[in-house]
Amino acid sequence: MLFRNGTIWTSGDKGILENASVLVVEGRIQAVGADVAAPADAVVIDLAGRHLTPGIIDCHSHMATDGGVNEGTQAITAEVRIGDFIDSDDVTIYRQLAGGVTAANILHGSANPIGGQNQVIKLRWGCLPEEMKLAGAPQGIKFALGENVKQANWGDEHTTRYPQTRMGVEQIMRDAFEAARHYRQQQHTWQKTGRGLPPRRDLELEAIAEILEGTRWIHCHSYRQDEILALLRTLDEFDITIGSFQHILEGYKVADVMAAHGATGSAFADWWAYKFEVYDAIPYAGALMHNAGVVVSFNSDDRELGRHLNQEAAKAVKYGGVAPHEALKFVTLNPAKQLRIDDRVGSVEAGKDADLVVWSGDPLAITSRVEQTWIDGRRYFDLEEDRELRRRDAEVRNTLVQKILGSGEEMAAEGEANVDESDLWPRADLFCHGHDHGHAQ
Amino acid sequence: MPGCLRRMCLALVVCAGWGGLAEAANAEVVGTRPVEGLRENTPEVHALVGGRIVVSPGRVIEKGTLVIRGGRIAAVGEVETPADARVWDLTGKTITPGLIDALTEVDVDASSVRKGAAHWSDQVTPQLDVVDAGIRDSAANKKLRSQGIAARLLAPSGRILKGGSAVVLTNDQDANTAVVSRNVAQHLRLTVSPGRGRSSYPSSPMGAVALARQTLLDADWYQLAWQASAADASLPQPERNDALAAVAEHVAEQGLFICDASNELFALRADRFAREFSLNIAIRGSGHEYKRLEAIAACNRAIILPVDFPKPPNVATTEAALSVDLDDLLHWEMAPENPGRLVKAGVTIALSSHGLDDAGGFLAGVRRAVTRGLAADAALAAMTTTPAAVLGVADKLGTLETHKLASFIVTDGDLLAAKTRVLETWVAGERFEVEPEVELDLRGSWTVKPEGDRPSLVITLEGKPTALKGTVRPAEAGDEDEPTAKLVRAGVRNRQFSCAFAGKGLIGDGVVRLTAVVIAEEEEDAELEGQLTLGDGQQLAFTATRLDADEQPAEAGDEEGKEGEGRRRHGKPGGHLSARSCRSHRAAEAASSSALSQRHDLDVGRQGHP
Repeated sequence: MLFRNGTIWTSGDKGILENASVLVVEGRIQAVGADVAAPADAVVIDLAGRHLTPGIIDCHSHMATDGGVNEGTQAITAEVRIGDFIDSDDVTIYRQLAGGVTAANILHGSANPIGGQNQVIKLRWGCLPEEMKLAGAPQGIKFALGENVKQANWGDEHTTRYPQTRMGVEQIMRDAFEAARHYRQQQHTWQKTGRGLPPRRDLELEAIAEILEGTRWIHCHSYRQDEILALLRTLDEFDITIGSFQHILEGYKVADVMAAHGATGSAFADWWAYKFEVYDAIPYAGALMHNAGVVVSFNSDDRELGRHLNQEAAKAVKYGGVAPHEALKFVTLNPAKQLRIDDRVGSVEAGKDADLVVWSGDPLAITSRVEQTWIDGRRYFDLEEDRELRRRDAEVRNTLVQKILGSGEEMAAEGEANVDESDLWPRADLFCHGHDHGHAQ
Repeated sequence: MPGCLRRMCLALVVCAGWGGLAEAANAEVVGTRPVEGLRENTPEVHALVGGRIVVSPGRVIEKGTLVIRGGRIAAVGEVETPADARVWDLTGKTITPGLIDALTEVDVDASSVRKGAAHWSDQVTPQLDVVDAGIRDSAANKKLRSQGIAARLLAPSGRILKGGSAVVLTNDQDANTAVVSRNVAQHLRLTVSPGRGRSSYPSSPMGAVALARQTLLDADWYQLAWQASAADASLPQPERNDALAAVAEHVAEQGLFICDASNELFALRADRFAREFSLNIAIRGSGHEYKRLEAIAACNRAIILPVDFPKPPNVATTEAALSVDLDDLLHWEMAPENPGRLVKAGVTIALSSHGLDDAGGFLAGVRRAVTRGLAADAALAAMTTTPAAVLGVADKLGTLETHKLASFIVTDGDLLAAKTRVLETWVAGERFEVEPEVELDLRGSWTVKPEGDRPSLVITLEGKPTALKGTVRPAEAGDEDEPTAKLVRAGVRNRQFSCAFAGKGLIGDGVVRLTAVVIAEEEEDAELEGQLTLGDGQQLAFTATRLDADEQPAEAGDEEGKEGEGRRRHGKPGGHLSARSCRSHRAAEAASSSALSQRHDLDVGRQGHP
């Protein structure tokens, strides 16, 4: 399959290529460039000057899960898994495809210092939950700092869970790492000697031990510079490199320390002031961290914002003057790096998955829209087909309404609908933006 | 209500007096309770003759005999009627194996097991056995029997690892006799309901799965740790935990887990969870499985399906229709096809009443599924042989083969045909009437001849045999505008008919009261004898005979007792009888009168009226 005659934003070394082609073979990109020849049996798609970019990757999402997002009861719930509850039928998946999103990091919420395990998915709309998971994506886990985890904003009934201060947050994480280290030692000792009671397999400590072993990446909800520094010092002590800081609104103040640790930052472009700890934010934060050498992405944390992340990327151009090609990386290659999946996705380069978006114009322009979204060389969204599907749905709806009216069957009461309990669970982190703000709900 | 009280008393008498005998209502169980008073030695041998017998799905004997001895099936087919059998003429009736409701639930108080060596989470109570919570629920059983259900899986509701279920008979007996099998399955729910708050773990579906997963791992560890501790006295002792012990034992026996799946994705999750731990599971489905048919069929798990098909969404007005999801419209259209589609995809299904607001709608739901693509034999299998196999009770239930429990349904046609009525449900040899027996059907026209020179009257009775209405007019056809009066308070009680009417123009002024008893019931020679009390207080004796058999009202519109049920009082076979068939069957009834009188006496004895 050959996409030809387009403006290709590669998010790679080749930058932006005019009048170029992309050859896709069996779901993978085989060649990118001006003179790519199509095999005789290739399906040729003429972009006619349209723009083509890598699929957008949302590094912080809570869509497509009916698992409740937060298991916020205990301070540490490392044993819970978003991956157990991928809702492949969440219509938000389709709507985000219409915004060019092809992969997303579905995160546990921020109700506790050590939350649950995240799941990276590809937006393979129509597939089964297990088929949505991005095979080979390294495992991760949600950590969180600040007001949410110390229950500052939970109301008067929730003031007793440890920790209640930022100092306690640091201590409980340290305690968990120590416990996990001891847990692994016990396992190893028993395996070697066979002496003592057989060690009990503890899924919570198991996940934390994997962090220590470097096979599970921390994605940490964070706002204030002091807590960011505290976490980095703790992690350095245990020789852990963080996967990403999420939100990281004051990251611009400590970007040098982040860069030294190897920390990445997945931020909001310009979303702040929804609670006290997020007042000291600026729209230049992304550009400043980027300039300090931090790998920066912009995420949505919201099912509506996730539909136009290209416009979020454009804000890095507006605030801080990041070059357009670099700015697009904030929602393509950089989140792929933060999730350690950049060997598979994030750029239009030979060898990577054919996760591609065809835009009507410049992807950073507010007037441009997605015309097609491809994942693994398969088309999952098409603007024209969407119109056809809407027409079909209207027809089916009308046929069924007529059938009901003609059936004489007693109808349900007005407003009475089938309630699927799964639909009642939030698809947002209700803790993240404070209780008085409805942004993420 | 006195009626209720009387029935309760009767039930108590039955329990106390009969519970311990080999010939008790569930005669196949041998008891230990000492006998108080006289021993009861009523033989429990029945021969059901002349009926169409569905031995098992697809295997039908067009006309055969079913012999029951001691609550079990002794013989079926072209067999001789044993000399000691009570004979039931079921000509024109169909006998089908009693249905098994593959999932019903009861809310069980877990506080007692929580007081033992419990799991730290109150969501984990696998050591709970539903039988200990009491399995008797007469109202539920009556409703289930009205649907032909002779046994049901009774499971504890709520929680994540809920506890063990039992297959119980719907015969209102206590656990000593009504439990067919216990610890049939462990019940699992891989989620919690929204709104559990933020305090108690788990508060989310993710947490529920994590807790279930950790519990299964802990159960495995529990076994190993105790073994290690027992083998080496120097080692510490693991905690005692009845919940983990119960799970470990169930897993080791490859026991059945039944996992709730509130939608099609949960069905896949249940399968995935089972694979992770090599569990033997069946899925309690939602009715949405058709949405992911291929994937669910590939799971190769038995699915217990509801038949609670939704009402159509409200699209009566343009505005109402605007708030209806296309998904809901589609589900209304597709839901009744769900069982049929699953069967065609090769999925093993069992049907159940779970999800129905009223279990009395079970058969109607099944019949709807049958009209929407579920083969009748497959439907029957999903209510008999399949649940019997899945729940491990196929040696006792599911077919009408020798040695199985005598649990079956008597209907006036094919069980799954639209208008067929369930007449009787037999549970382990005990007969329960579903349609109430008509005590006395007086409908029709009667000529009332008062003593003396008073003119004869014609009374015409219509409506239900148990709730009559009617009119009275002069017997001699006179002027065109002959006077007629409506009967008020017309009814039959204790085989005595009474009514009242305005006498003006008919027989004296004022309100006339009429009371009569039946002195002859034979078809053409039926006769009533009674007394008229006129408006002026004068009392006249009268006799009444049927005016003309051809004027009997048609059966149409006769809707009495759709779900009603009564223990038989007078031993007429065949349950409900229409006005006409009632009389035509009396010959047959007379033929077995000896058995009847025996049973009749017995009934009187049980009621305490010697």
